[in-house]
Order: sequence, then C-alpha cells, then structure tokens
Amino acid sequence: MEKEAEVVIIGAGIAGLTTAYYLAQLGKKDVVVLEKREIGCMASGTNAALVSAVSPAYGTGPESDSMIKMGLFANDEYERFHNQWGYDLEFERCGSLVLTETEELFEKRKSYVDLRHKQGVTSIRLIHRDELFELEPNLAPDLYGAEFRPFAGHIMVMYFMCALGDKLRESGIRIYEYTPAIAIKTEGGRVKSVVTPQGEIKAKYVVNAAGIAAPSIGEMVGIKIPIDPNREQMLVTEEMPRIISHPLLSASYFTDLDRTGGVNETKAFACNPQKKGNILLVGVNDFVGEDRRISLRAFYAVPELASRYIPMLKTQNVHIIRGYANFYVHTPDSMPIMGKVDGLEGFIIVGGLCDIGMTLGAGVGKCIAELIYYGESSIPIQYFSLSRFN
Amino acid sequence: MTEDAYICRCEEITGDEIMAAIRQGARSIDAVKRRTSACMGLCQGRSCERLIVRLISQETGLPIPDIALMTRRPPVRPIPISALGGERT
Repeated sequence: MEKEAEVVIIGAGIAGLTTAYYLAQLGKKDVVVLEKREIGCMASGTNAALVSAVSPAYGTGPESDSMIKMGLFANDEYERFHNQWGYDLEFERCGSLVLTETEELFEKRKSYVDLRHKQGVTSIRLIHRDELFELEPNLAPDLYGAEFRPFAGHIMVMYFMCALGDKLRESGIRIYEYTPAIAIKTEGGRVKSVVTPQGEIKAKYVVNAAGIAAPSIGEMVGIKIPIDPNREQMLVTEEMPRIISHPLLSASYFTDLDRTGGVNETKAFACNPQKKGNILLVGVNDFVGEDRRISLRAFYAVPELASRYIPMLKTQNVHIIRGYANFYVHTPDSMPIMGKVDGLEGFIIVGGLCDIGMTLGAGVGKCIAELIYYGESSIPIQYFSLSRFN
Repeated sequence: MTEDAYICRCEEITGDEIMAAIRQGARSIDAVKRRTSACMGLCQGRSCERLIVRLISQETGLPIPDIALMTRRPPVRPIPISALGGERT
C-alpha cells in the first residue's frame, strides 16, 4: 500500500465513492478509498433503490433548495451512467407517486407542491383518483389521490455500487477492501495520516464517509458525530407480471414522519417494482442499534401494510421470497452532515444521508469533491455543517 | 460445464456471467450476488451457492473454506402473503 495520498476517503459507500468519482473528474486522482468490508455492502447497496430527485423529506427550509439541486443533478448523472458506462444499472425515470389516502392528506400536500413550484420544480403535481387509477389500476380503490413526481426514478443499487467501483479503479483511484481505518493521526491542528492494518498513509485530506461507522471514525480525532442506525425492513416478492409500475410511498410516510425520531414505524409504507418483476416492499423502521437482522414482526406488519395499498398482493396470494434489513444513517434533524470540521484542518465529513442517500448521492459527492478541489462547493452546503449540533 | 449453462436457474444467470463477475474482482458469494443477482431468486441460493463457490475457487485458487458464503435471509422457503399479515385492517 502507498505511503501517501492527497485524499484518503474512509468508506466505499455512495458518499465516499461519488466523492472519489468527482475528484477524478476534476483531475485529482491521488485518492485512496479504504473500505472495512466490501464496496456497497451496507446501506448503499441494500436500500430501497428509490432515486426521487426531489423528496418531501427535504423539508421546506432554505436547505431544501440545495437538496433539490443535488437530487436533480444526481438523477441526471444516474441516467448518464446507465447510458454510457456499458453496465445495465436498471435505471429508469419511471416517475413516483406519493399516495394520499384521504382528502385531508391530499389538501395538506397542496402547500408543499406550491413551494416546490416556486423552487423551480414545476413538473411535480397533485393528481386526482381518475388519473391515479389510469397510472396504477391495481391500487386500493379507496385512495383519494396522489402527488406525481415524473422526474423520479429507481436504480439497481448493488449493480450501481459495483460499477462505480470499477469505473473508479479504471480511472486510477485505488480502493482497498477489507482495509479498515484503525486510527487517524493529527499534528498541529490538522490531519496527518490514517493508520490501517496494512500500513499508514499520510494524507492532506481525510474524508469520513463511513456511514453508520462515522461516529467511531470521529472518535479517533475526538469529534462527536450524532449518527444512529435506523433499521429499515424490506420484503421481496417473487417475480410476477407487473401489477404496479411506479415506486409508491404512502403520504403518511411523510406526514407521520417524526423527523427527530426516525421514520414512523408502523404507517410508513413504500414499495419499488423491480425490472425483473419482483416488488420490494418497505416498512417498519426502528432503532435497534447495529442489529441488521429482520424482525419477525416485520414479516407480519409489512405485508399487512402493503396489501392495504395493493390488494392484489393478497388476492393473488403472492409469495415472499426474501426479507432483509438495511440501515438508514440517521441524524437528529434528518439532514445530512457535510463539510469541513472546525478545529481540525483537512478533516471532512460526508454522511448522515438518512433515507435520501441514493436520491442525493451523486450530488453529495460532487459537492464534497468541489469543496476539496476549489475550497467551496457550487451548491451551498453550509446548512449541513456538523457545527449545527453544538 | 458449458459456459452458457445456467448456474443460477431462478435468476437465469449463466456460467459466463458468474465468471465475468469473478474476473471483475468478486471473491465472495455476496460479491458475485451484487454484480449478477445470482442467489436472489426463488431458491435464494440453495442450488447455486455451492457451484459459485467452486467457480470462485477454480478461477482464483482460493481454498473453498476461505470463500465467504452468502448472508442468510429469511424466510427459508417462499411463503404466501396470506400466511403472513396480508389481511386488510
């Protein structure tokens, strides 16, 4: 292993690898990525694979402008990667639907849609039931309407993470798997080197992109990072002819969302139809530390929730072939943590991407790469600074 | 084995595709899975996992016991949704 690199990135998930990718695009290739296990083996490779571009989870404050810019940029990039890289990433700009169960929920979304229009996202719109059932004839007939986001899409995340790793290696970036960072040395208020079992690498910049392990990397330099794993549980159906064609989210996913306590565990429903014909059913989020097993309760609660929105799952008695859990990298205010850290030159954090990691993904990497290369990012990221928690 | 034979029959992944994943750097079942979706179909790897381990071993020279098997995911067999929580409430 080399003794020195300009940038050492800890973590080969979406945040770390896209940062490396855009650094390479800017011509900075003296970059090493350290990965404790394998590329994309945690949240980035096992999430619900929705790339919504503009998510209700962005909230309504000034920071949502930046998140919209990152999200729209990310989707354009995913489409470009899919078309140009020579890998079938199963990216599809299929549009997505936020289902409003009642008239009340439908009305509540109007102010949100108005705000997004003012922010320049003009194609987002509320649709009434006639149009909804034209788009999705197999939904529960009592649904009142939906918010339609035509720019949203989905991508096969595990293929994407592997392809991204391949592209980085082709461009000369070195990625070391099964190589954890075990210590970070500092000198005179700036980072000096990263220690691994395979040797020590001197670095000008150290990027903490370690996902749920970001707090333990922070501890190595005495920096507290408020990140908790929020377990998201998913079931996969057998392959079947398509009964739904858009990723769906329940409006109660967002209205019941307690942004300080994570996603509401019993009402938040999402699903994603896959290219092969499986449907990914998502629900039951909770905080259980680093236990990434799926709970027995999820096996009952997720199908119940899913068949409330898609009754055919029940009437056709669809089979469940697989259940698994994933971690959202949760922060106290459900916003990412991005940027430099006061008091330690050269140390950069990118993480806490919560339930919008893939959606923001490439946009986040671009911002951090620009921060390193130019000293500032073209999209304002000051809202996401770690110092907001002090 | 002919190279176009299905190794993972559920997901219809051929020997060629598995070998391509190994040549791209996959050294574990999960890594092959992430590149090809082998082991992710109806049988969840029960028929193809061992074949893939052998292919990794043949191609890389790694001893079979050193090759990480896949993460086990429940339910072991496909379960109809009515046996779970599919009731309308």
